[in-house]
Amino acid sequence: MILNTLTLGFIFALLGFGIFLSFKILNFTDLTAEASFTLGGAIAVMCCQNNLSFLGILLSFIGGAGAGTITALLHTKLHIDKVLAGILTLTAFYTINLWVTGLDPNMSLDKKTLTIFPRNNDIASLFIAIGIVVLVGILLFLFFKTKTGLSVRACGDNETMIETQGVNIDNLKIIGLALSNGLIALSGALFMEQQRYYDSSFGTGMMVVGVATIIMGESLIRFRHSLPFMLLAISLGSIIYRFIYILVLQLGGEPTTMKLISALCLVICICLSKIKFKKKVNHNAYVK
Amino acid sequence: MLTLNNITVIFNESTSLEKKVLSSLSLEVEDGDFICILGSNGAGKSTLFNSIIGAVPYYGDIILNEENLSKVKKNKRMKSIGIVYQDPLKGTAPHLSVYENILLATKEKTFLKRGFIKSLKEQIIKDLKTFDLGLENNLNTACEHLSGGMRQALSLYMATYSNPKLLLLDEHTAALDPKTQDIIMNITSSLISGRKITTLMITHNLKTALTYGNRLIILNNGKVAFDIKGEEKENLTEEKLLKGYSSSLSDETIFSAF
Repeated sequence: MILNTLTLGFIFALLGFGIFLSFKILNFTDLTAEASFTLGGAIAVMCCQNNLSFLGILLSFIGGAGAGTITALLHTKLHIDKVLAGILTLTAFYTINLWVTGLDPNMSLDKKTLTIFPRNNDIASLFIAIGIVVLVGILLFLFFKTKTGLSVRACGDNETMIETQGVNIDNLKIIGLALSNGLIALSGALFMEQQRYYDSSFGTGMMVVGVATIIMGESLIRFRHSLPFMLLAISLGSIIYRFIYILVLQLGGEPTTMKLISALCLVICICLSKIKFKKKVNHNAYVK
Repeated sequence: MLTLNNITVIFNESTSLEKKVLSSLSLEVEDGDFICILGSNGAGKSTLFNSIIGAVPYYGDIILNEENLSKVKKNKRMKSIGIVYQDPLKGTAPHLSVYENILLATKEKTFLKRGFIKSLKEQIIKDLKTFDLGLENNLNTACEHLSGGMRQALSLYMATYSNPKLLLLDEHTAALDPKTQDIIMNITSSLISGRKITTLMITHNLKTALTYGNRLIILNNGKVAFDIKGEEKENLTEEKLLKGYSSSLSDETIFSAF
């Protein structure tokens, strides 16, 4: 079970990377995440049923990137508010995700169907998950070493500054959101292939999971300025989150109450990080 | 050469709040000129800059080196224009390091080649050393931890890095203490001298305007009230400028601040 939890931790690290890109780097509260996670699962399940599990991974990334692009276009070209643009795409994709699976809200893979995770071999599955996370991490690192990547980072920080450098901000937002949602969909696809079932409510609550992952990682390693540390911290945060999740389940938590527990976990994480901060600037220390 | 032809900017056009901020402003600027723009608050100085960079809609033509900017998109315009704002927070990305901020000002597409990165870093350190602000020792420091003066120096370095045809300085020393103001003005002067970068600088400091500008323009009510250049500028004293500046201001109380 530990190996299984670790595998899930690495799979959800990709969700953390995606949400980190939109929330922290682009400073964009992107609610599309929940739709793209489900979309990833939907595309992967359809591909797996046709024995195209590898293609499913690739197509889910492209599909997620498409969903992110739609949100970015709604925001940049039609000037719709960030949150509303996300909600619009999220709502539209409830239908699109159903279309992808042929109006089937939940599907499971039979024993003969192959996915990229071999059945009954947890060690191999874990190494495959680690391999994918490391590969994505390296690709992200290389991307952020390009001018476009660096500009995406700067765009969330200071739009005026990046504008004065003659860079088109709209394009940066499109690239950033496409990449973010592509990674989230990839995470959804891997989750489906590992669990061997798909449900149209897969994505619900994934924002909370992603944000909790980032906050946990952030409290472990102060990472704002070094990308490899950021990615490492998010992966660690994701694994810890998975273990907490399993612990709560072992202590008698019902799967139906897990969303409530996830939300409470996040609130507690945020409160803890605030208490830590308050300690640092203890004004009473100066009052005698 | 920069030519402004009948630039008119109207805010809230065709509404009861309609306000003409620039009215048929025309100006010709020679290559390498350092022009100081003076005028009371609301005279249209910043709006003039915003129209040049395409941040506000305007009537008329702005021609930079025979290219009519009116037909060029904002981000394309900024490839040949550098700008530094009054607010030190505007010119740099706070969570990126000094070095990463500078990389954004370069024309390179990737920063992966080690040899290139090494020589680039050496050049940057050499340049920053001349500022004498200690920026070269803070290459890996996030800009949020820099002082206002350091940030403005960095913004200036970034704005002039790729030799823009035109540099716009919007009161870029106004938020700094007098000593740092002098340092930043010296850096400004050293960065643009010898590179023939045409510079327009908005300032309220008459002494700075007299020292650094080779032409002074006083704006009033969206029009050029005074255009002082050549011999007239050479013979200009601070008292004379004060007198002329005073007459261009309708509100005497603003003027008394000088």
